[in-house]
Amino acid sequence: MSSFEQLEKELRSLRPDDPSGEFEVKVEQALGDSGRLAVSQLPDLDSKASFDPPPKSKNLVLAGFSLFVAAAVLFFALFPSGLTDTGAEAGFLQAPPSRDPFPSASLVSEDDSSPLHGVSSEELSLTLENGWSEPWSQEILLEVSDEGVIERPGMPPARKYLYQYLDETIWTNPGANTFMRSSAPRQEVLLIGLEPLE
Amino acid sequence: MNSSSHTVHSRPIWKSWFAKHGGKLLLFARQQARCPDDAEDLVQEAFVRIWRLYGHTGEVAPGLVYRAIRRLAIDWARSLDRRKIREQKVFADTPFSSSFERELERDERNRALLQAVDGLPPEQKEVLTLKIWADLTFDEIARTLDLSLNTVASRYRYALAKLKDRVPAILQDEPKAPHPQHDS
Repeated sequence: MSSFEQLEKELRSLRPDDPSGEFEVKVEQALGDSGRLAVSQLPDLDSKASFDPPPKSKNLVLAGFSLFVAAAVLFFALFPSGLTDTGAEAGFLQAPPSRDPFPSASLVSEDDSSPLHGVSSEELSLTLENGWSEPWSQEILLEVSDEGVIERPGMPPARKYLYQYLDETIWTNPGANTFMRSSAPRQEVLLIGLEPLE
Repeated sequence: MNSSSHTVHSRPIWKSWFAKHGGKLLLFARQQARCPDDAEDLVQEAFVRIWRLYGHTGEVAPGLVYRAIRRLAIDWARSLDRRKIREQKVFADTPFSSSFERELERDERNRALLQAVDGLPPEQKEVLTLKIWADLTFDEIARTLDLSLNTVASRYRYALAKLKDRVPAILQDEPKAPHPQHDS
């Protein structure tokens, strides 16, 4: 393939036209809230070109807090809540090794009382200062599906129901007129044992 | 995060992501769509679907969106009536180079290269697009197009071979114009 390297280089140097501004607006409207998640603004916190220098320490605290929560939301999203502790892992989850190019996860501690995956309640409470109110959470049931009867080895068959939820947590800071929202999908499986006919 | 006036300098990540990949997605979608108007709709639908699923992680693998575009295009094509399918024959001829207007303005060399790409069979063109401009691996391309790895690799090789045959002169960094009258 080396004889093609120059050709490949030549082709790569050509850049397709960028989407029009009008199209980007259409996409933004279609994305709705999904395009305005807290984590989506993380990289720009380091961008001096697009950020005014913070005049007060309050802004630094706010930026630090935003970074922290965004990172927490990222962890939360990377670990589907369908994964549960086995006990032997002593509160740690390890993502299975994967060659898949899509986002993978690493080690994270687990605190069942915390609304954020990988962030303990104690750590979270430390961040709820400087005008941030207690988080408001809700569980939205998206869909219930009957997946039919399944066989279970050594047990009577069961009917399987799949519940799909969206867990939302919202933090608000009225003083800064700011809010952050974490949305995470969750699935629950309900098995109802069926008694065999006699 | 929604923010007040002192934090509006931030920019949602999807915009940066889209600025980087949007043009390439459209390029691929134009090859998959049955008519030019569908290309933007395909990209929008595929991108929004995938970003809603994975966008909160701050990063989305482009291969996911290319695959979604491909599958949506197939679904939409199945739902077209016969009249529209006849119309698609006209739209299918939309030149590949129309996605590179700025490059065409730049010089003749680019124009010739893109016209050569235009002349490739569609199945080779889509593999070339995903490899060169989408920067996907052969494995990702195979999954996107539901083809074997060998098929993808050979289509890519054939595409490059054809391009090299058709535009050998423009591949010279400093093309030498022939001047027979000065030959001794």
